[in-house]
Amino acid sequence: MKNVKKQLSIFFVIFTIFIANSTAHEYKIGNLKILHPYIIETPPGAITAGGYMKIVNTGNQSYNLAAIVVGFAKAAEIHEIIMENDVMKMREVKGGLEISAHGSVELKLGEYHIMFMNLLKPIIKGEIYEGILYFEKAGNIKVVFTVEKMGFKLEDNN
Amino acid sequence: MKINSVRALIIVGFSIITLTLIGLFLPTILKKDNEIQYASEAKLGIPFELIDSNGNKITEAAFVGSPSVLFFGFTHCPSICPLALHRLSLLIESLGKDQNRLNAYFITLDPERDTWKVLNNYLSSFNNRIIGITGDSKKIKALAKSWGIYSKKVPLDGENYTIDHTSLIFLLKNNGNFLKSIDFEDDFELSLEEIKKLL
Repeated sequence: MKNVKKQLSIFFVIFTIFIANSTAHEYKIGNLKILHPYIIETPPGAITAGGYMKIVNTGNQSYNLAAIVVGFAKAAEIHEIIMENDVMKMREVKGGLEISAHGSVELKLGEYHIMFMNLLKPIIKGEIYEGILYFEKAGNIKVVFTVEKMGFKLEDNN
Repeated sequence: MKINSVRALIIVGFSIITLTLIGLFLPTILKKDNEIQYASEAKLGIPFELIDSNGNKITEAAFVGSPSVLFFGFTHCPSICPLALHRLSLLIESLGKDQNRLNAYFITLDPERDTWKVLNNYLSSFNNRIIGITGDSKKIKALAKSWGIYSKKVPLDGENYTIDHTSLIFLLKNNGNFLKSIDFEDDFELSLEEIKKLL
């Protein structure tokens, strides 16, 4: 199932290359608004990075962020940080991340994040990092992740 | 009547003496309580011989002589570890000149991937008081356990894995004893006060 999703996503990567897209920090796909996708600058030599954004659903049905494909890391998964008795645990969010009807989900440091694994290039401010987000029922959208400094908070920026 | 007056006088007198005594000793009693609460330090950790992020040998002696802060983590950790190290860097910088009297150590829980060179490179983006510690994985495991650190490898897709671990920052007195822990999510100023108390 996962492979099918991955293949589907790869197909869409090729497909979307032909579709004009904006480089603004806000994207819209159907009832979904994606606010300011970003990656926190990584320390030198780091081979993992976290991707963040806010997703707002103005529709009457829920949507599911099911897959992410990027060209700068070997794998991208949705992960969640769980703090339990001062122990930090990170787990993949199986089955995708749900954005409920008229709801929103913020991916942020220490909570939900897109886990970029085995980075193919370091995350440096000024470089372009593109990715495709695949939402079940809404389709997929190409986004550009900006690079932000550690300590960045989306709400400060809005 | 007379007897009653004398008795009343004695009672009043004793009351005054008792209250005065309580008044005199109360601060001492309270202070003692505070001190006891304050001195809840504990001797934790075992002796060790590992490698620091400059490639030099490091032992438990590094925790003695100056107060220290310890944080256990790993460099493949995408958010909490860099966040904690970032917080620690800001705290150290806020100490101004006093920062030279504080030692800070980042002990890897993933020595297989975090060699001293990896740590050296990784830590170069944080405050330079933070020294990495790595080495033999059995020794690291024993050291982490002796400090009460929970750590467990959890497989991810492919060959990747993550490590569940205690993410507290430990504050050590200059005798190497554990005094208390702070969390990277704690109020910044309160954490800074706690570190200043160590110096």
